[in-house]
Amino acid sequence: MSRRLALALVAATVALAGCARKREDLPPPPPPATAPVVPAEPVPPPPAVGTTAVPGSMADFLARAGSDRVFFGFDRYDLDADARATLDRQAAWLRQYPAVRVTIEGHADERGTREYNLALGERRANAVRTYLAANGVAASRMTVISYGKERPAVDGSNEEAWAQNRRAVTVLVSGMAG
Amino acid sequence: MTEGRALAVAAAGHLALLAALSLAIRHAPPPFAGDDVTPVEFVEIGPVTSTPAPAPPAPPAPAPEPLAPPEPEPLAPPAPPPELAPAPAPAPPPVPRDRAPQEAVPREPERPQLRPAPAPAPATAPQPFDARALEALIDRSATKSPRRPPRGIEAGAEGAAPGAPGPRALATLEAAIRAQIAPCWNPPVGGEDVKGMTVVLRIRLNRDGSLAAPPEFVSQTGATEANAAYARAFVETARRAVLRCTPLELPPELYREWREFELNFDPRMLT
Amino acid sequence: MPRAPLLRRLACALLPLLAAPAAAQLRVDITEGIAAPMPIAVPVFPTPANVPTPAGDTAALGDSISRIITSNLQGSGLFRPVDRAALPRPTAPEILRPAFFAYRTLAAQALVSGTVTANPDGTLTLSCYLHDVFSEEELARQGFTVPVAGWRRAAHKCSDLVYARLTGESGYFDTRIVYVSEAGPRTNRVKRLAIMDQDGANHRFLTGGQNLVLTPRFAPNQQTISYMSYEGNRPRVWLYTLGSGRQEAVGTFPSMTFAPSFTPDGSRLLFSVMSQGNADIHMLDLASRTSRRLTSASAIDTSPSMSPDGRRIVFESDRGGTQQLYVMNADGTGATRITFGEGRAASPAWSPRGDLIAFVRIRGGQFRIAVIRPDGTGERLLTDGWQDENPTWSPNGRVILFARTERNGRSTLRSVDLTGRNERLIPTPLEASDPSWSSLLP
Repeated sequence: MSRRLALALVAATVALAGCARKREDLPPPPPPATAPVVPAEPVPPPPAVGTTAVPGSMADFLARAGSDRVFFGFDRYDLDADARATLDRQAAWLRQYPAVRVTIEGHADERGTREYNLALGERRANAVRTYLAANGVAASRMTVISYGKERPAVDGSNEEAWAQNRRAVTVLVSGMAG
Repeated sequence: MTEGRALAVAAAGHLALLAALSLAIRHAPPPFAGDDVTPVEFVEIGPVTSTPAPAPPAPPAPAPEPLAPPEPEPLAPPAPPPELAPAPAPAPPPVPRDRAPQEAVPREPERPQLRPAPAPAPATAPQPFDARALEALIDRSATKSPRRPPRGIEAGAEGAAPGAPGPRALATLEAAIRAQIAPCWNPPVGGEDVKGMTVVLRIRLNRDGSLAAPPEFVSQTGATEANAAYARAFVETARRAVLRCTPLELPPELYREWREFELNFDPRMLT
Repeated sequence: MPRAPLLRRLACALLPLLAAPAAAQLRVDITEGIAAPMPIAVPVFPTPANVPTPAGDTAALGDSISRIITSNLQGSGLFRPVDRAALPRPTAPEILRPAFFAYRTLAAQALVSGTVTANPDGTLTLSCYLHDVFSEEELARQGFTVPVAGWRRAAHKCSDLVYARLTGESGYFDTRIVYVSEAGPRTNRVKRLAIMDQDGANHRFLTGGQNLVLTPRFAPNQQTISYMSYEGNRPRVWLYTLGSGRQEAVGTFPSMTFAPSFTPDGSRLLFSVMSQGNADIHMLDLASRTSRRLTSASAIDTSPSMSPDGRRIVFESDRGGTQQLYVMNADGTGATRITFGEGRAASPAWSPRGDLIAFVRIRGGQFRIAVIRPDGTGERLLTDGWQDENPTWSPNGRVILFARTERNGRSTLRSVDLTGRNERLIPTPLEASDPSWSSLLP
């Protein structure tokens, strides 16, 4: 968790456009932590000094939300504290840029059968959509799509890869700057 | 009518006219585009006979003279026969004739026995009956033989007519037959609906153990309208087992018992 | 007629005496046999006249055809073809009078032979004969006339004739497989629909790979394939018409539709419709395009497969907590769970014979192909791969085709028979998944 927090801080200050990709190199997220609660309703801070991300852009979204994705337990689609924290930041950003439309992609690891995983991926995407909607993002701005186990983020048949692949990704599709 | 013509033509040796004869295209070509499945036309190639055809000419086109000589005549004798998988059952004393590689001598004399023919007088001298070999057999199959009598009952000890074999001798005989037929039986693998199918064949043997008549169908259980094709194939496997494994080697002094007997093929012990 | 009663009385007195010895006749139970493949001989098919054709001359075709038949019969696991090199080379006139003795010497129990003839109209005729080597009887014969390009089908038809006559069950060699061909890295797989003969021949691609495609299923008439496509980023069920290549989306559902399968009569399509995180099974009438929902549990209900009699549907659902198989009536009523025990159960496929359901048993991180009776008894595991998925039945219900994924991600098609003993790799040009086996071609 401290690593995630550090990452968020780094992202906020340095504003790396490639943050999401870098995120994938990290080990799976540790279990939900007891600690640091990211303020649920932070007023989006103005871009930090030194940032190169255009406000309202994809890079800005990644920098401010910390991540475009949340992760799930095996065969689960409930959002843990970690995921909710990420989604809180995503929701804040999306509220600030109401013209942006998103597609939420749901994914599963390879340890489910193909058809079941299609449904499971959709459940995950739907959980994210419901959470964002409850946090002020108009449902009409969001669509969901499931890829089941067809598009893993990481190639590999081990716990680490599976943890990275059980995910829902918020993809900006239109209305963003840049 | 077409069928009648086909028969006539077949008899006349004009099977060449396949296309012309073609009895019924039973299936219209599928309405696929050209790049898809090519159609197959079912054509009659003469009547199905249950006995070897009396040497009609070649089935299809008897082309006047093959342009190229078809293929070299099978001059070389066939290579040594491949080994069969080892039989799980106890090896019977006599080897099934199709698995004796050295038995390359033509067995044509046996052929007539497949046709219903009166049992010829036993020409060959009865072979000495090795009771110990049969004892060994029955001991090994004892657990599988429900008819095995309790030990201690001597042959002929029932006070039956002189010469009548006792239950032990009969059990021994049964075991000998079983041990020689089972390794030749290759029952078809069926599905759920054919469990419990059995067939009984009547066997008539000459004194030398060869068939005096083709195996005769007696009865069958488990056959239904739905599994008729399977039932037929099942009977054929039983018959084939008998044809493959005769002549049997059986104690000549019990010939009265095995001159005619029934075999009940029941695959319940097979997985 | 004073003598008649006397005779009758005599007969009545004597009959029991006559019957007694008959009843005492020896009867031997044969309860064991050899559960081994049947030795069978398939010599080269001669040609009465060697004629060149676009597919090679008829002598060469005769050789190829006997090879195909040999391979088919061997692949079934029920036959053991005798080494071709050891077989006689019959001439065309000898086909009707086989040298049975030579085949007996080779331990063959049956003989498959025939001829290949080029017809004046450019077609080929394959004559196919089956003889019992021991009884010397002819068991079957059939001619097949095909366009030259379809010569392999004639060989498959002959194989089916032999299989059916000797086993008493219909064959499955003249069939095709539609599947998903896979290429590229796992994180960005290119997937294309592809179709091929049951033995891997005549392979061709049906889609170009621009859209992700999954789970193709043959219609019973083999002319239509239902599948799932991400065309337009809208994952849903489509229909592909072979021949014309026409593709169309099915239904007007606002959300994802997936897991299609045809009903055995081909008139309707079963599939899942996603709604608010739940998947329900729907049945769509292909003529009227009207559909109705069959399940309504708050769960993932998917992978429907109808029984051959059209009365019941097996599907998987996590309504009880984990994926398990359920059987319900065709109208959606009376769902009953049929799988229990350790692990999960997924992707059921009802056998064309109706007696079994193939499915994926998930246990200990492994996916294995299993079968179970529709009443939930008699579960048996047939395979032992890491991820064996997507079972599909041969039309005679004796062989199951499935996709195997190794731990390294490599994916291939395999078949296994109901004994679980005869597992084979089905060759494909690239990696492969999601097979669907056609019914017998007409």
